[in-house]
Amino acid sequence: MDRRILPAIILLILFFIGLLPLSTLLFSPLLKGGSWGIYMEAFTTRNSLNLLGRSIVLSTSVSLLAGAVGTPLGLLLSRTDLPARRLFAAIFTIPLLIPPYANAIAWFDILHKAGLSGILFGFPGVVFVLTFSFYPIVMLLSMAHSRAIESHLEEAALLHAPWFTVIGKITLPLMKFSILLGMALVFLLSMGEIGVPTFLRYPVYPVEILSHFSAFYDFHRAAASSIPLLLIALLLMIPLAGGMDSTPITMKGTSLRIPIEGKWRSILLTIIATGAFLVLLPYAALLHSMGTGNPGEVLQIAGDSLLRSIALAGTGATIITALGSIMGYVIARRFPMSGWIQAIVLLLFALPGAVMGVGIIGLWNRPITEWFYASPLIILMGYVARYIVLGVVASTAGIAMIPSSLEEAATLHGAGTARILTGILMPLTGRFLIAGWFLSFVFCFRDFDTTFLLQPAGWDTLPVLLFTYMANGEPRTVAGIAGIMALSSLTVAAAGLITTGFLRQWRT
Amino acid sequence: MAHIELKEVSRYYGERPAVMNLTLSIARGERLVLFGPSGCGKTTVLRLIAGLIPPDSGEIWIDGRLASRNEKILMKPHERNASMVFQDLALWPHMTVRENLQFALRFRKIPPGERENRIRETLRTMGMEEYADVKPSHLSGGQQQRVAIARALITRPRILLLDEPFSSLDLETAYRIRSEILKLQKELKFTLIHVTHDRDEALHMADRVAFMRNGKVVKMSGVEEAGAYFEELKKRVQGD
Repeated sequence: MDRRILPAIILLILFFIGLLPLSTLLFSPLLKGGSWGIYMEAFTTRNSLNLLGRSIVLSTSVSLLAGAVGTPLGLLLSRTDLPARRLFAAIFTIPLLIPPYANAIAWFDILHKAGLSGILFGFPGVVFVLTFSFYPIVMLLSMAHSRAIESHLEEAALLHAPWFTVIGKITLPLMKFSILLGMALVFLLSMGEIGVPTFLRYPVYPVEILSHFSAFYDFHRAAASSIPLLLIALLLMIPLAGGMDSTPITMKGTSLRIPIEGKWRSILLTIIATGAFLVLLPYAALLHSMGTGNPGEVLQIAGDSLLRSIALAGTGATIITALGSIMGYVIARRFPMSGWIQAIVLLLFALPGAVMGVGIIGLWNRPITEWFYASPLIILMGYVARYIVLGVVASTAGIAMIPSSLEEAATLHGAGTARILTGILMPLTGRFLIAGWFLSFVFCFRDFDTTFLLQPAGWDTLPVLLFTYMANGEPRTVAGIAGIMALSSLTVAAAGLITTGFLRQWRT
Repeated sequence: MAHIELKEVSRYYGERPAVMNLTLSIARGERLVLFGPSGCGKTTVLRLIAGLIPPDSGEIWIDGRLASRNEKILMKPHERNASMVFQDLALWPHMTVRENLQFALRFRKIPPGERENRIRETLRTMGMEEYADVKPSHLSGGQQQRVAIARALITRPRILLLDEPFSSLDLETAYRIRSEILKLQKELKFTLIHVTHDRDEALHMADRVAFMRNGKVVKMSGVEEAGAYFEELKKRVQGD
């Protein structure tokens, strides 16, 4: 089979689910009788510029702080000889698994109990909660990349310099791409965040899009307002996508450990343990509030939404894993145009959910596609478009570890593509695909921005319910729903860890 | 006094022994070749001497100083005055050729002017002067090999460790670079420990050959005796 056919089909799918909705954003204000004036308003009115400026300052601050926290944490937890690194890494990942606005509620809950909730409102509070929610992205990318550096590169340097210099001159520069990618993702995710700024009363640009759409039902203006965010995402992601293939890492990876000796060992351990305690503290408070309230009543309020969330996230994760595994194969085996596939899935993830949501509405909200638009399928399409990258990354990581000679050997014995996929690749990458499924589930489960815009009547999910209650519910009920949200996400993540750990042991 | 001494050194990777109760003494300025099949522990010996890994048991002495003992590295790798050329060369991809060499000199007490002179001189010796500002990925395999050797030699090390660095080169280039190293070794008188499983390479580079199998030295011999032993091994294999 021509090696261009499979990537071409994948690009077509990505165009259909992601790029086509985005292109409607660009042109629909004109096509539907709008005018250039709408575009100009998005870029030039005082209010828009003011909000855009705020969003940029906010996202830059969060991105810098997340880089400053996530990079050293990633190095410490992946490469040093400090004890309990895996446990700490799991704890420090938790804030990413919980929706940012649930994190905001958790911090509000604990500060409220201490009579300090006032300090959480406004710019510093939003920066704090978003940094808390997104630093794990930089941490996890730093961990993955620092482990993938060929060990000889550091060993060669160790013959001439101490570890401190080797980290500064060899390790960190080789990780530069991952750190920048992580910070760019944090920037874009912060830029698109709606829940936290709304809860903490800090007006930002994406809320403008949301209010044009949901308060004034003005789709043209919402679409035009999305364009600056789309442009910012493109400006950031295009150079990074270009650098993806030039990162000097190998899959051989490293087992070299950075020895932490003397007083530094106890200092760093104390800092990490304190950090882990601070990460767990708001969730403990949230669960405490949930326990002291009326859990039965909260469960009654949230039960249906919880079931819908589980059904949608489970279906979304399954589609993402299936599609992502094929895309991952194309990327890992370096098919033609695989760089484009990587760049597009990353862009779709990095785009603010509101932008993607408005684009999908623009494309599908027509009489002829009403059957699709008014069904939960529209939410699933939003999930797949936004989170397909998770399935792709998991599958790429798994397939890249399998030498292509295994497939070639099977081909020589007459195996076709389907037999190779089911007989060789699937059994060997099963653990990665299952990890990808759990990860995709958690992200679909926690999604708010896309679901809020796309949900058909009667299909509100747990995050949407939480957002509704945040505006006009009792604090105890809000804390209870946020607690259910956090507990469900953590249960799924823990199940994922246990399953993949079990599969790894079983295989070896 | 021996330059490098390994006393009853063992090193395991999990349950698998890589080096077992190895005792070895290497004189200053000697050229020792570690010869043996893949997985017999040759590279592990180099890494133990470089201080990149500690022994699980036993002692390693360098220049009369205890360098490693029983799971502890007592002299850090950069304090051992050793350089190494890795099998995959390990050139830092984000640095130019000049920067690769500059990094190696970073912690040596050499005045900045002298540093630049030494970089120029080393690059000239290796025929790489015109590639000083090029990144390794833009060089051919042979050129990269020369840069790796230049980086190893620029510090004027007392110990040079070569981990099969010629295995990916064609015969002619490999022979030429080996000869250059031998010339430099005679000039600078560093102790050379060379890992290979190539018979001709072993005979070309060695004063002594240590034949290794299953983490142990099974025979130690001079070059002539090694040549005869190789013939004997060949006949034995053909007889099988």
